[in-house]
Amino acid sequence: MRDNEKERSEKAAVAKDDPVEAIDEGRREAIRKVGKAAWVAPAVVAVVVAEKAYAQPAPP
Amino acid sequence: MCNHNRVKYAYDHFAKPYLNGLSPGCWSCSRGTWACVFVGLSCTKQCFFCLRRQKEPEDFLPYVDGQVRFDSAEKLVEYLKTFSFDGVAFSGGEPFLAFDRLLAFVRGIRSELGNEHYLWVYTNGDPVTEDKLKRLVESGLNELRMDLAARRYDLKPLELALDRVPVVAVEIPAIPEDVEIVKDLLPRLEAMGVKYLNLHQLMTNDFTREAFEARGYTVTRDEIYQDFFPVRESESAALEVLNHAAERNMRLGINYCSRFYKHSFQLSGFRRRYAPFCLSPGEIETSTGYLRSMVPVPENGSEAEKASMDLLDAEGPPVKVLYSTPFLFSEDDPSQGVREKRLEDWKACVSKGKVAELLLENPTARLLFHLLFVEKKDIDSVREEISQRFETGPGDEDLMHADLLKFHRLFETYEHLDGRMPEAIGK
Repeated sequence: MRDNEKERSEKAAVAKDDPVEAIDEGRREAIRKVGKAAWVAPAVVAVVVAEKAYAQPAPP
Repeated sequence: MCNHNRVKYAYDHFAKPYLNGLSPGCWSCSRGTWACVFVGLSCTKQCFFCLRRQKEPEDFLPYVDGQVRFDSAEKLVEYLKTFSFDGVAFSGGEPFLAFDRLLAFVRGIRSELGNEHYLWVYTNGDPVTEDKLKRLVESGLNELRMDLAARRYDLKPLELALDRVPVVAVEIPAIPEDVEIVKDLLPRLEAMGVKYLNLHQLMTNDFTREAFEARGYTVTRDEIYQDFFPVRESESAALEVLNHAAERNMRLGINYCSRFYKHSFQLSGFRRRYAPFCLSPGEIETSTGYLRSMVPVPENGSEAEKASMDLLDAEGPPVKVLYSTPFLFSEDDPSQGVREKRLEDWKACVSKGKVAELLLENPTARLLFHLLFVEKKDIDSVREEISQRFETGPGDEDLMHADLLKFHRLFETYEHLDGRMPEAIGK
């Protein structure tokens, strides 16, 4: 029982210092994995863009 | 952009500036819940800006969305019910030349569906008579939209309609050479009791190209517009009229309907209508009606690996995001692809086709995608979140924000309509 309380109070202390305390614990941990590093620009490769192949209705 | 603070923008989207309000029909269009029924293709005029051949084939049936056809008012009513429309417009050609059909549609909608739909008709004014207006209004028509440009701004048909139709609007293309005529007309329209003036952007296609070239118009040839490219000078003309009215504190409702707006909002409504027929397991429909699926790369991983894909896992694999669009084809034309759904009452089939694949290569890309498009947070919230989460040096904040905007831009077409206008618009 005491251990649980200790754990909760430690978590509360972490949450208090955490600027994004609103997000849940799992996500916070996940983002932490990414976010501790310096900013790296997102890398996205657009492989196919082919909308013109499908007929759209003419504008009224 | 308009330079007067009285001008507002529908949905904070610079593509639809307006003054003093929009017709309920325009709002219906913006929600993607209007049906534009082409009741006939014949016309009394041959306007240089018309996008359609003014000739009706013998086997013509009224249609919406290019392919959904109706051989009776009952079929139209059934269609409106199936797709939860709240506005119906009748266009053409000149709809009054197909008056019996037009009247039957208006009566059918009102008798079967009550007053839940806003109904309006476009006309060039030529075949409009007191008797026809009376019958349409008695049957439940809400609004008449008159194309004054088709009769060189002759106001006679408008005068006929004003005492007889609940809402009378003027809808004209914004013709650069006619700006001064339209500006001069504004006080008259307002005094007569016209409620709205809709200025739409000229578009070029096979039927208008020659005339537009002769007039020296500049066309934006972006392939997103398929074969209906917008005319830049038309936009300048529309904004000039809007600003002119705003500076004079006019009460008339005026809006500019740009090609970009039509592309974004009307097509979004089109996709959202038919996307539910095409959804595969694991696919979701985005708010703009595209179908999105995601797979880890390489794609030949086990099912367990695919199922455990976690965009927030920095150690996880790259993820491919695939977008498809629903589209329609005639049931008479089976060559168009795999049929997802046959709309048998309306002689059309629904299918879907891949339009884009975007590979989220690194952890930052996967994180941003998750925050923006899975959690659907707005850009400012995400900006704040990543600012707090990443170590930044002097100047890095601006760089990070620029990266975020660029990333968002890549996906906004497929994910939502909160984006801003292209830079070229509104200058």
